Amino acid sequence: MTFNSLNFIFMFLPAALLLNHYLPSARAKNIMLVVLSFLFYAWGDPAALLLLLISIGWNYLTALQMAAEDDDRKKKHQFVLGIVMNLVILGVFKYTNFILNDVLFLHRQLDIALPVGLSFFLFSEISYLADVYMGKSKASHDLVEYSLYVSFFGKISMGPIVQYHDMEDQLGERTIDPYDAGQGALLFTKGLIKKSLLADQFATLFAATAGSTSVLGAWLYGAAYMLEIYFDFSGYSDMAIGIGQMFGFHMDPNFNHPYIAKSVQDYWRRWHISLSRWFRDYLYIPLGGSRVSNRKYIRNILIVWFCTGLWHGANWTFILWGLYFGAFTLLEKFYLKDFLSKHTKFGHIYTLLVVLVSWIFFCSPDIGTAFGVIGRLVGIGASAWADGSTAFLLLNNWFLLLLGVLFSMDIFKNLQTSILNRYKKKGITWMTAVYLVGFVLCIAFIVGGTFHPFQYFAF
Amino acid sequence: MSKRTITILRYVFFALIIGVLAMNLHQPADCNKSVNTVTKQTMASVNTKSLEQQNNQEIKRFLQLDASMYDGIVYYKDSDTMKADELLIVKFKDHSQAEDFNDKMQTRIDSQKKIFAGYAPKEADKLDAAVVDVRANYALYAVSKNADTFDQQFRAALK
Amino acid sequence: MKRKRSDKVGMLYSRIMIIVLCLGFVINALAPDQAESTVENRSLQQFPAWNTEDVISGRYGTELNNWFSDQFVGRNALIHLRYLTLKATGTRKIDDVYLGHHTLVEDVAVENEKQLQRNLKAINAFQKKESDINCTFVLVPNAVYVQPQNLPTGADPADQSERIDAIYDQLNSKVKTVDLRSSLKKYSDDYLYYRTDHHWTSYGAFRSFQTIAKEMDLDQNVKKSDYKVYTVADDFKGTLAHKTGSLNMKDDVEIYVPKNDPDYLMTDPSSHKRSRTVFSSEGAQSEDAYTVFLNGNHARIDLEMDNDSDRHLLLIKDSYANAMIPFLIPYYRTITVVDPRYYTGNLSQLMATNVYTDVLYLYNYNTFVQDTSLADVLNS
Repeated sequence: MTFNSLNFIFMFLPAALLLNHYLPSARAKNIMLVVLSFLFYAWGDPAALLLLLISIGWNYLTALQMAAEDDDRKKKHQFVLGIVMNLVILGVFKYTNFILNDVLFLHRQLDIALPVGLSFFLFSEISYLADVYMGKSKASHDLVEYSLYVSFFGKISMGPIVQYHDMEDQLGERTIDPYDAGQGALLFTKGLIKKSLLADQFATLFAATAGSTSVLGAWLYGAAYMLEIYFDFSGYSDMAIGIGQMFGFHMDPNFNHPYIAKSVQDYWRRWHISLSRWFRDYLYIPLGGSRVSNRKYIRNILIVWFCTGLWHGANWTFILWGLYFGAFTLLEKFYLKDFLSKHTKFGHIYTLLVVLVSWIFFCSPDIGTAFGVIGRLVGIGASAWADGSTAFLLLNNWFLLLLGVLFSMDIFKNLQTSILNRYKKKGITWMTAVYLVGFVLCIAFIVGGTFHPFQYFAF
Repeated sequence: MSKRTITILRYVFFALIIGVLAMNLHQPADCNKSVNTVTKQTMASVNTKSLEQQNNQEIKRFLQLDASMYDGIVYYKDSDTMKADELLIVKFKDHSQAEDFNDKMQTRIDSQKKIFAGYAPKEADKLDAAVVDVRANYALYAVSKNADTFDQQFRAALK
Repeated sequence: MKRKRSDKVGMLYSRIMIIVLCLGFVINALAPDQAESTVENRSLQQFPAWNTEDVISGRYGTELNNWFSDQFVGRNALIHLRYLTLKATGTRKIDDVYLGHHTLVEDVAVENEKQLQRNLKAINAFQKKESDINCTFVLVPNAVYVQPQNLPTGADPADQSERIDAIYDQLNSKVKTVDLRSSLKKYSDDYLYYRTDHHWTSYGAFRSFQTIAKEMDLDQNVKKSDYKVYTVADDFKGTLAHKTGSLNMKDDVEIYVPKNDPDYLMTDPSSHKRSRTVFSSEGAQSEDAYTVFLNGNHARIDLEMDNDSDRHLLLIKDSYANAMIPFLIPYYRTITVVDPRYYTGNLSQLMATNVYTDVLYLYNYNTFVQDTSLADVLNS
């Protein structure tokens, strides 16, 4: 099941909200949420539920065993085995064909279905084991609470990847402040608008520009994807965090207007924040982070970016995409940092270009195609500067592109605040009406359009 | 839970993980039965009176498949030309024929959908629910309201 | 505690939303299932029956999704709302349909190169095989070429004219090609094509027939006064309206009945249905009023006329020709109409009866360049 579907919005969500409201005890609510989350997860892919349950059991028991173990060496073995099994599961389901065909060149395609959210929930479980091992958290003695942490429907399919110690205290009893829930409802709607009114239309534009061979066409192609994936993924994250809020969970934001970043380093503090934090806390810092010699530091950066790229997909394009950012991180750390902090306008443009090129690697089926598009951006291999059909696409979508650019910037909150300050009490009604109209339009577009699944659903 | 219980359960779940991984890595094995046997079992207990078997020329004409390339091929099509129902079972000579088969079936489904969409919505629905199932050296293509039954019986026939 | 206004927005909004969501749930659960969507012209998923295997495979969940979405109350209104929103924000094209000036225009179809070549080769080969029969090939240009003034500003469709030239050039000299481009362009401001459907109007067929009749030696002087014109539907909303969810646009469907119409018998050999007219009142009153012609598509139709003509026609066509058939009827003794998309018979068997004096291919450009059935039928 997915957030931008009618049966989630009008069947699943109200049922879950009402049950959560009327069930008497915290325990009853938790059991209900776990059962509903399993139902949510199994909805399209019941076989995957088995894997989810087994992974929950494995990690739950591993942590308990570690907690009951006094011998530090044995504890370490249990921890390592725990982590390794999680990685093996991820490896088999996600990387088998990549390893067989693109690494070992064996030319065998195995028929393996990747369960939804595998990369997300396994990373959550690894964070649990690591937090318990490092003493940040206590091993859970409540299977329902642990299951809730792993499988809560608000975050199981596409994150945010909440680290266990950040959610530990929220797993027992949650009080829902109605104002908080209200903000959750607004955030959910904002995310839905980003997805169905913006991202899905950019997806159509992206598909339409795919065949263009002109310079303008390449730019429009890149821009369309850049905006599509931002609104798609940040929209989903908004919906996830909003849903969490409606049930009393507080999750940190996953996006912070990444396209206004002034450097690549700044960009990665704003894009898919929970993933970069995860890699920082569980891979980068254990490797020594930046508190090591320059050589080891470079090694650490490259390892982390290699893994970040690989996490996104089983293809050399993704690995290249990750190392590309690793290279820019190093470039900035050693050479550009001062220059960028003094020339912020340059920093903005430079970052946007670096990111645009990165998305072209990301969305291309292979490296050759990616370089073809990148070349056409500057006229290499292009048939013309512009062509009639691309010009028409621009004309057809100018409003969409305008909205995309505006809402990539941090203007919505300021806009809302100024409306509320200007119109005061009436402003409250106006803003509520804006959200309601937005919601109705989303439903109209969901009903009328072809279905576009979330982009990160493939992870 | 006592330390012992935890340890034992952990072994159990370790085994479960290995089990699930093995199940998913396991690829179907080749089936040695003849294509006619498999077809008979696939179509058993379903009303297939309106389906007429087609010859090799017709297979070439409608599906663009060269019958001589395969170890065995059986193709049924509904005698009513305004219906989209059809059933195809193929026994590959070589596993590498699977990719081309998938492509040709997708092409067939797409062009049939174009023909029936807007004019005969029920037939277009059958195409949306079409089954293409490749199991090692055997493959099934079915367009029918009984497509899932055919698939189940097909898989059972291959065992 | 003094609450920020944005908090109050959240409160108000969430209160309204929980009611909206619950109402949405109840209304949709209680409303009876519709069988078909008239706006989209397709059947709608009914509530799926419980089937344990389907549940385990996940199909049941998908069917439930489709049921809920297809049966969603207010679905038609929402589809129209989407159309209005897109139009209001400057959209001029939805999928492959241009939102023109008071009309919808389908874009030029992308050619299926391989199939197109096969089809042209087959037409040439067929002509060689049946060299004693007059062979005529007509490719009807679509509204996107004939009426560019209807397209929204900035539209840059592919050039159908160039492509039609290229296709005609590939046919051998004995295949007579008829060029409708200039004759249709002359009447470009008239109601040649439907506003909400990709077909031409009967008037468009009439204007084209004036040219075709000359070229095929049927009649050098076809006039409008040769026909009685009846309007059989006045609120036809066709395929393009379905695709876009458009509002406020509809079409009239007319039929041209020749004043010197002979008696004739129409037979469908596969269903054995017979009729004394090609016009179907059932079709005229249905959702797709274009099916007034022949009641839709058939693999093969046989027409036998009670007139003195000694010409027998084999008509190989797509749905555009359906509106053309009434014009051809008075000039032939028999017409065999074959639609290669559905025809599974053996064309050589048909030709062995040796009765045909003419063969006519009548296709519109968009369908012809994507056709995947013609070559196989011609080669059979």
